[in-house]
Amino acid sequence: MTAALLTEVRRLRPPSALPAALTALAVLVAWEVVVRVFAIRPILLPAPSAIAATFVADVPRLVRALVVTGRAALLGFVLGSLGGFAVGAAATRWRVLREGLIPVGVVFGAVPIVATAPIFNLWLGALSIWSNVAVVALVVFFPMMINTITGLASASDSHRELMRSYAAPQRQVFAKLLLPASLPFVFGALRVSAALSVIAAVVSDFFGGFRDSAGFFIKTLMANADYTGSWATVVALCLFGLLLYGAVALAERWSVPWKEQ
Amino acid sequence: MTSPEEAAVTVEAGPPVVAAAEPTVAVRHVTRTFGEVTALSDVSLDVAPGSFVSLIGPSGCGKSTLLRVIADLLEPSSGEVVVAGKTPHRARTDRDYGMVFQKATLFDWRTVRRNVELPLELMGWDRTRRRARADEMLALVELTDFAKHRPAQLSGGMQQRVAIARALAFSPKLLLMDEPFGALDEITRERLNLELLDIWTKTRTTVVFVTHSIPEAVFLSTDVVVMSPRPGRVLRRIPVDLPRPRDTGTRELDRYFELVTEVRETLRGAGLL
Repeated sequence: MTAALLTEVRRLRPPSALPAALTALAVLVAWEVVVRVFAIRPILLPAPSAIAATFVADVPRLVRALVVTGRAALLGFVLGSLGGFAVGAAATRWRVLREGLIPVGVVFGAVPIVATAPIFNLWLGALSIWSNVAVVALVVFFPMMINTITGLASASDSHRELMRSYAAPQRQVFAKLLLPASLPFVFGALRVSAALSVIAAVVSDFFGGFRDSAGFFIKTLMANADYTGSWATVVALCLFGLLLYGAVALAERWSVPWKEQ
Repeated sequence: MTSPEEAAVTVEAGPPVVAAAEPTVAVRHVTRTFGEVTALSDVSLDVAPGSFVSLIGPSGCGKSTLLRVIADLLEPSSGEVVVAGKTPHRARTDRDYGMVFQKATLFDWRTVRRNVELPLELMGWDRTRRRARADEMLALVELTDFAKHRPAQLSGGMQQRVAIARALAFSPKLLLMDEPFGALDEITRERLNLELLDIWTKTRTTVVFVTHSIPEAVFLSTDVVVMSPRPGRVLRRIPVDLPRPRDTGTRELDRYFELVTEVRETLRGAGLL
C-alpha cells in the first residue's frame, strides 16, 4: 500500500525543469560577466552574447552543417545500434558466439575512434558519407552489443523457471520474458550512444572532405580566427545531441513505462 | 464471516473418497543427488485427487527439491514419478499444473491483469477469452480494482495473490506451491491462508504446498508430510482431521493444538527441534 501511495504522490507532482533552467541561466550570466569584467579575448573564450549573435546570423549555414553531420550521426546511430542488438541477441542464443564475442567486444570498445576515422576514409572514400557512418556505427555497436547480452541475461532464475513450468517454447520465452526484461539495458546503451554518435560524427568530419560538415566548419573557422563561429557550431551540435537524446528518452518512457525515470 | 450454524457443519472439501482413486501425484522411491549431496533419499508419496498436502521440514530437507521433481523442473536420479497419470514431463507440457513460488515472480512490464493472462497467452487463447478469464480470477483473489496496476504498486501479499490467480487461470488439475507465503508477515500470511482455503474449496484443485511453518501446514492441509534433512526423506505423514470449513476459530480448537504438537514432536523425535 505504501508503494502504491508513493507512486501516486510522485505522479501528482510534475517533474520540474526549473532548477536545471536556473542553473544554466546562472552559468551563462557568470560566463558573460567574467568575459566582460576581465576583458577575455575571444580566442580564449567568446562571450555567450557574441556566440548567440553569430549563431542567429549563421542559422542557414549551421542547418546545412547539421544536415551533413547529423545525417551521418543518425544513420550510424541506427545501423550500429541495430547491429549491436542483433549480434548481442545472437550471442545470447549461441553460447560459443557469446564466449568468443564478449572479450573481443571489450577490446574493440577500447579502440579510439580517432584512429579509425582515417582508415575508414581510406576504405570507403573520404567523400563518401559511409566512411562517417561507419565510424559512428562502430562506436555505437559495442556498448549496444554488451548491454543487449547483459539485458537478455537479466531475467531471474525464478522467472525462467515459471516459463519452464508453462512449457513455453524458446521463441515465447524470448518474446515474453527475455526481450522485455532487456529493454532497460537496451535503452541505457541508446542513451550513451546518442551522445557518442554526435562526437564520432564530428571527429570523422575532421578527417573527411565534406565542405559543409560541422567538423569541417570548426576546423576552417578556427584557422580563419572566427572563434565565435566555431563556438556557434559547437552550440548547434550540442542542440542536435540533446535532440537525439531527448528522442531516445521519450521512446524509453513510452516503451519502458514500468521503470521510474 | 461464517455463521455458527454453518461452522457446525463439517464439510469435506475434497471430492468423495473413492478407495481406488488414482493419485494425482505418485512418487515412488525417488532419490535425487546433487553431486555429493543427497537431497532426496528413497521418497515415496501419494497425493489423492482433491487433497491438500503440505510438505514441512527444516531447510535442506528436500521439500522444494521434491516439488521441483514433481513439476519436472528437476529430474530424479532414480525412482519414478507419476503426475495426473503421466510422466512429469508430459504433465508439464500438457499444462496439468500451475506453480506459485516464494517470490511472486510477476512481470514488471505487465499490468496485474496481463500478468494473470500470461499463461493463457502462451496457450494461444484469444484476447476476449483471456481477458474475461483474467477478470474472473482477479475477482476470485479479490483484486478486481487493481487490474490495471503494475506489480510494483502492490504489497507483497497482493502480489502473491496475483501469482495464485495466474497459476489457477488455466484451471490446472494440480497446484504446486513453494513456500508461497514465506516472505510475508504473520498477519498477512494468516489472511492469505484463509483465502487460499476458500479458493481451494471453490476450485477443487489438488494442492502440494511446501512450507516451514507448522501452524500453516496444520491449518491448511488434509495431510501434513513431515520431512527430515541430510538426506531428505519422509519421516511421517499426519492426516489432519480438523473440521471444515476452517476459519479463524479453527486455530483455537484443542485438536488443532494437538496436531501442531504432533508435528512438532515428530520433528523433535528426529532431533530436528
